[in-house]
This record gives sequence, C-alpha cells and structure tokens, in this order.
Amino acid sequence: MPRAMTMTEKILAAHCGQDQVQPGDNVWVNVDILMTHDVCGPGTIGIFKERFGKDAKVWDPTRIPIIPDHYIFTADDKCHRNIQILRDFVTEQGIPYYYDPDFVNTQAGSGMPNPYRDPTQTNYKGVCHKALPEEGHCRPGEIMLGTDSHTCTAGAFGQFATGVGNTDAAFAMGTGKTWLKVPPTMKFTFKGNIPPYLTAKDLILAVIGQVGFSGATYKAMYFTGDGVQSLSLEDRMTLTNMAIEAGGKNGICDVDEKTLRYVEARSNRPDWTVYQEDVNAEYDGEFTWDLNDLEPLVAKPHSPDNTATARECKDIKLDRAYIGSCTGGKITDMIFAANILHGQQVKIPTFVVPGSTEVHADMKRLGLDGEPVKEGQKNIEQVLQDAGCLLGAASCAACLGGPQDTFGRLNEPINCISTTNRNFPGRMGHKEAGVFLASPLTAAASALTGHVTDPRDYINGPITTGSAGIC
Amino acid sequence: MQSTVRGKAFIMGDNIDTDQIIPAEYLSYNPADPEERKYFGMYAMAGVPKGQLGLPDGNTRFVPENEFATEFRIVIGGKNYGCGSSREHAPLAMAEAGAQVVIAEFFARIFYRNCVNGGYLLPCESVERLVDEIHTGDDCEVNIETGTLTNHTQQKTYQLKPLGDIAPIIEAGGVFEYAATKGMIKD
Ligand code: SF4
Repeated sequence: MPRAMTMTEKILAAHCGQDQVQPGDNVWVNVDILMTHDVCGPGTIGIFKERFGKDAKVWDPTRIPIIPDHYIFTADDKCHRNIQILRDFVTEQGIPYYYDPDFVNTQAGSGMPNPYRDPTQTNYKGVCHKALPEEGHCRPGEIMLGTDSHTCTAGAFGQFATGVGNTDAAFAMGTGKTWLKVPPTMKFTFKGNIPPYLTAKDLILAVIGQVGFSGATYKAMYFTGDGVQSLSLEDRMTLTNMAIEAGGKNGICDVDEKTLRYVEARSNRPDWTVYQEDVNAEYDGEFTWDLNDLEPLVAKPHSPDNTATARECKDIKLDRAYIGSCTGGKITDMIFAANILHGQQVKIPTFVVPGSTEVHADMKRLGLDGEPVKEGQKNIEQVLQDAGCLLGAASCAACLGGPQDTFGRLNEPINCISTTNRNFPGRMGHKEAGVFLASPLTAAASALTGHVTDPRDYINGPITTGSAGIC
Repeated sequence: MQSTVRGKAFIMGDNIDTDQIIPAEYLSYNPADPEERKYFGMYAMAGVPKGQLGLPDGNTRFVPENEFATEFRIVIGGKNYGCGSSREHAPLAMAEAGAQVVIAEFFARIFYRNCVNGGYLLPCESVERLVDEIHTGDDCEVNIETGTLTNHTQQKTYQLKPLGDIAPIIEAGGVFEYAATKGMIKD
C-alpha cells in the first residue's frame, strides 16, 4: 500500500523523482519558478556571480520572473541603483519576465520618480506576490521559490511556494534546484459560506490567533472546506499569504474550478498537474471553524497572533488607516473597502495603495459590484477618493516602512489600522507605532469612526466582487 | 569550522524578527558590494525597541554608535528567533558585525536556513530557556563537539541540541560548499 500523502508531499515527491516522501525527509527538488525583487535581487545576483562566475548563465531565463516592487517611489539613490542592477542583469541574461518601473531614472540625484500616468501603459507591475499570478507564473502542482517570505501566497493556486534567502536563490538560479525538508501538514477546515462581514483576513487571523505566531513553524498549512471554496481566488491568496505569520513553510489550497479558470486565463505555460489530498493523509494537527461562528478580528500590536474581535477593541483610538500590500491591496480588497466607504467621509487619514498596476487599472475600470462601471456610476478609485482617501501608486509602500519618504510610512508613534500582514515593532516605520491588522472591511469601517470598528455596523447586504481579479 | 567559540554574550527576548535585526530602511545597501556590506554591521539590531536590547538591562547597544563591529560573539534569544521577512540581510548583518553563534529555544525556518546555507552564523537550539539566566556581557563559550554552552562568568554549563541533518552543510561551510563536495556543482 503506498503511503497516503498530502498535496505538499505529492508535489515534493514529484519534483525529486520519488514515488513518495514523508515529513522529515531531506530532498533535492527541481524548481519551476524562482522569483526575486529589488530588495533581494542585487544580493542574489552578487552571490550568483561570485559562485558561478562572472559570465555564468542562469539555469532557465524563462523561469526567473524579476519583479521590482519594494523601493520604487523614493528619492534614495541606492534604491534606484538597485533597479539598475536588475536592468543590467535581465539584459545580460535575456530574462523575458522582467517588470520594469520604466518611469524610474536610475541616475544618482534623480530624486523621487514621477509615477506611471496610466497603470495600463507601463511594464511595471507592483507587488511581486500579486504580479506573479496576474502575469501567469502560478500553476497547480509546481514548486516556486521567491526571495520573499510571502512567496507562500502562491499556494492558493495548489502549488508549493516558499520564501528563501539570497544564497538559496542564487543556488537555484544557477542549478534549478534546492534542498527542502518535507514538512508535516497542519489541516485547517472552514465550513459554511463566507458571510458579507468577513474576508479571508479574518479567517487567517483566527488561525494565527489559535496556533500562535510560531505554531506552524516548519509546517505546511493546508486550508480546505466549503468555506475556502466559497472564497474568491484573490481572497484565498490572503489565507496562504499569511501562513508565514504562523511560521509556516507553505500554505496550500485545493484546486477547484475557480483555480482552473484563473490559471487557464493567465498561465504562460500550457501544462500543470493537479494534486489532491489523499483521504487518509496524516496531519500534524487539525482545526475546524464554522464561518457563521467567526467574527471580524484584529491583531493588536505587536504580533499577528495577538488577536481580539473588532468589537472588543471598539474603544481603541486610531490615527491612521492603511489599505494595501500583497495581503490587503488586491482588487477584491479595494471593492470591500469601497463598499463600506462609499458616500461617507473618513475621519482619519486613510492611505490606499493598490497592490499592482492591474489592481490600479481595475480600480478605474470597475464599480462597487466588481463589474465594469456603467454610465453615471463611480469607479472604485472615485469612490475612495470621494470618501477622502489618499491614493498612492502600486508598490509595497509603507507595508514594510521602507525609506523615510515612503508613501504612508508611520514616521511617528501613532496607531494605524492596516490591511497588511505584520505588526512587529517598527514594521511600518516608527518603532513605537502601534499597528492593528484587520480586513479591508474592518479597516474601512474604522477609518469612518477613528476607532476600531466592527464592519457589521456598516454592512446591510452582501458585497459581490463580481469577476474582479479573474480575467 | 572551529569547534569552540568564546566571547561575550548578547541576550535578547522572544520573537526577535528580522525587521528588528536589520530594519527595512537599510536594505537598500547592496550586500554584494564590500564597502556597502559593512553598513549591515553598523545597523545590526537597529530595530530592536528600547528596553529589549541586551537583557536584562535592555539598553546595551549591539554595535556602538557609528562603528561597524560588535564586542559580542554569541547572541542568545528566546523563542522563534528570526521570524518575519526572509531577508538574508539579517544573519548577514549579525555576522558582519562580528557575531559567530546564535542560540535560541527555536528558530523561524527561513532565518535558520539562511544562517546555514549562507554559512553566516552557527545556529544552535538550546534545550532550556537561557535568556532569563545568562546576562548580556557574560563570558560564554560554545563547544560544538560536546554540544554545550558554558557560562564562565556564572560557572554554569548548558546543553545544546544536536545539529541534526544539517550538520554536513554547516561543516562544509554553506550550501554551495556542500553541493561541491557532492559533485552537484563545480568547486
Ligand atoms: S506588500 Fe508588504 S508583505 Fe507584501 S511583498 Fe511587499 S513588503 Fe512584503
């Protein structure tokens, strides 16, 4: 009898040429996609050249998407120089999937770049984890490495995806291989249908609150159940995105017709393999929630597992709201926020940063129902601007603080409610600032009141995201 | 790899994340440039909040202001050391400043992997919690062969967990060196 395996185990087995693997095995696997960006790319390229030689060629230029996203809108010369290092490298290596911030002048002293005028007229994409599926680099059954801890986001597409450092990335860049220890899998089941006041952010905060900030260290996190199926693919990306906030090695979702629809519309390769969990697969812990029992949650400073219901925090005063990042800057997140904010005025400065230029373009193209705007309707961007939000250009922006002049950065010790993923001390800038992680619904509701607010106070019907983010 | 490391200990708490070890604002330095690489040493631990830096007093700088090197060889943390961002700049910054060993009850996965594969620091897991007993500045010695940490100041010895499967990579000095010994890549 072959051993019953999880999706993660099956993918790793297939990539090391074995019929089966089990948790704890160390295996060398073939990598399908290696992603890097402007923060870790230069270091990775440096190690690649040092180790493989100045004239070395990457193992497969078509499998190395390079996506600058972190430090784009800053006057810092070193950040511009790093973009030039990427430009030189992709030219030298003939890398086709490079998404250049073509409006950045990398000459020293060039100052703050003027952003793209029209998000549809630039090669620049924005946040790598959002751009990867948009640009067709995510497929079921594959192994993706990225020099970024939130590479686990791609697990929403039924693949194994994990973050690595520069040395591992440089090794894979030259060889197409990496070693991995097969992780045990933890199973998280959500039952029911997603109610209008919850998003996947509440689900993943519930998971992290339950298992703790290091509760899934070294483990695969498998998200399943009809509750997960009821989420849009973009919202599933929020689930897998924050697997790392429980210490997880990867997060993974089942492949269903929503996954296939997305991948068929986007993939730039024709083939992939769909793996399913075996019924008798072994789990290192199983947890189940009924979506009807869950309430909107926040994670209080300074840890993503410091969760409480939004209602419990209603007396906490806020100074700022931030809607953006790979976790909470997708078009569905923008639609969620806009449905709360439309026709109202924010009480605190509210910064909105699209995760990608496609998200930005969709904010102009789509209305509150996620469908193309019709005559006389407002698009998402107008709704948010009319509510008093400050709109930035697509990038990581203040999610990780970044250079002092970054849009939305917390330069003072203030309280901010944010749709991002981390609230460690200093993560969004100031070491003494307090970051409350929340869903776009909760962040938007809180922006209207200036204190942590349960979005149920503002929701009176279902919110549909239509075909947003799919085709 | 040498089998003992002796030097002053620097004590930190639980959940020290990589944004604290090297804040994002310094990531624009290019580690591949030797002149810029030094700055990672200068800013190592620059994101740790006051009161947490060098326990128990919590106000000891890891690297003196405007300098590049630390006097501490052995960094000791509690649980989940190195969690958060995958930035390899974190173990690199600690090593660039002069640390050689990092000890914790357990590590976040990517940090641990970066220490080993990049050959920056020797990551050791302690059997018991050390950060409430050992003080910043204590004269400590790690012996890899016996798997022990000795605090010479307090005259106490503690057990460290075996390195396990990754010992060959540590012994080789990193993943490239290891792969070369296996003939996977050219030396
Ligand atoms: S948006 Fe934030 S979490 Fe996502 S890749 Fe950028 S910095 Fe990292």
